[in-house]
Amino acid sequence: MKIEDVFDNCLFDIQNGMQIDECLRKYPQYAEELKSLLELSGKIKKIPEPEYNSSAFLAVLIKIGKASGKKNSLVKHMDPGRFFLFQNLFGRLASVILVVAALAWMPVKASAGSNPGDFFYPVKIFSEKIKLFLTIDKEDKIELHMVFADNRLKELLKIVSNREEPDQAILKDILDEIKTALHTILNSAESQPDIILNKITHFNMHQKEVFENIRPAIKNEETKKAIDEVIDMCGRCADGKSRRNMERMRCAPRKMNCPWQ
Amino acid sequence: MYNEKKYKINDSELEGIVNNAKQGDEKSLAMLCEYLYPKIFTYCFYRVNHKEDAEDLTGEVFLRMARSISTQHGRFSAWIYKIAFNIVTDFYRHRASEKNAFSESGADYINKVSAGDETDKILNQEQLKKALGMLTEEQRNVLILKFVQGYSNDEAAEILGKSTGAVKVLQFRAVKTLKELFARDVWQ
Repeated sequence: MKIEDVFDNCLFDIQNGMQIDECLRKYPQYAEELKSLLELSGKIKKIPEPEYNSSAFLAVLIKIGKASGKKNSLVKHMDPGRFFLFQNLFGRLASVILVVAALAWMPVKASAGSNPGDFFYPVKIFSEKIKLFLTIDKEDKIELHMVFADNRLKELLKIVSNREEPDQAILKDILDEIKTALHTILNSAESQPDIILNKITHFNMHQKEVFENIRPAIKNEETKKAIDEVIDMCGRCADGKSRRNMERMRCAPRKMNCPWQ
Repeated sequence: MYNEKKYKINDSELEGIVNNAKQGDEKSLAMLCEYLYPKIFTYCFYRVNHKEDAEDLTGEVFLRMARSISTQHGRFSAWIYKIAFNIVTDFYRHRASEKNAFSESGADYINKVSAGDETDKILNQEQLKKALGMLTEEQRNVLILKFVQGYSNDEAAEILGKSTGAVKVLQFRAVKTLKELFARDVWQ
């Protein structure tokens, strides 16, 4: 038996109550060498444990509390057996709202690229009205009206560019939408800063130009009449804006029948 | 089995506490911390020779324990000492040198000093700390785990990733080196 094994056996025996001398008698060939080693081992074992700082210990307890709290919440979230993500009432309510919002948002998203006559087109118009209703800021409202009026114009252009004679009902809806938007823009524009007024002017001029280009392609007289109304409206408002600017610049005014006057 | 100088928790009780802690029971986690903190601190203290560093490292050990206890398997005491062992090893890896209190190994020092039998001197904590600093890392680990912490050969072998035979050899060499260091009174 090697001395390392004998030493370990002696340590075990001493730990279980055997005296050193008694143990050494079992291994006389190693007794001389082992005696001092076993005595030293006994002394090492008797050394008291070092004192630690209690505040350091408390700090560890606090850190552990935080770490275990985070872990528990993660475990709950990852439990595949739960239908709802959260257990509490607030969490369930939030989940229901999320699902309803997602269901409502899907047709709105699907309607974004729809055109007049499409199944989702009414949803697109409705969602625009909701956006307008929820917009409080006046400048933002005008901006939205311009965007929506521009959308209608693009839809009209799409129909005409397909060499189709627009359906009267659809065209009437589009033009009504544009008229409503223009009225709202111009009624709200009076108190707006010049930068907004300039934007509106350019918008009206652009619409006027587009309608003038569309007009020759329209064969139906009633549609032509409706387009003429919009052209006139856009032209008068664009000129009216110019007049107001001229008034500001002390230039000669010109009587215009514009909604903002 | 733990060297129960103060604490009276047997292995089966410890297993129950560990199982509760795995289920997220914070009270059990705190009990484990309270029970094991002095032991892990002692281990770190004799490994790094510095009280504040030992406290920081001990804190790190328990934080890691709290984060990963749900995945723990096997003998818990071996598992947590393995964490402590790894954390202290990382600590030294960052500091580049383990010999923060001593610039040369015990064996080198022994060759320089004159002989003399002083093993009858009463050991104190400071002497042991200095003496441990002169051992190799493996010898020091075995000595702390077996003599200070009271682990069995099998447990120490599991923590250190060595065979029981290797632990016996390291233990014998460590005590022999210490005896020679004491004989030369190198820490006075």
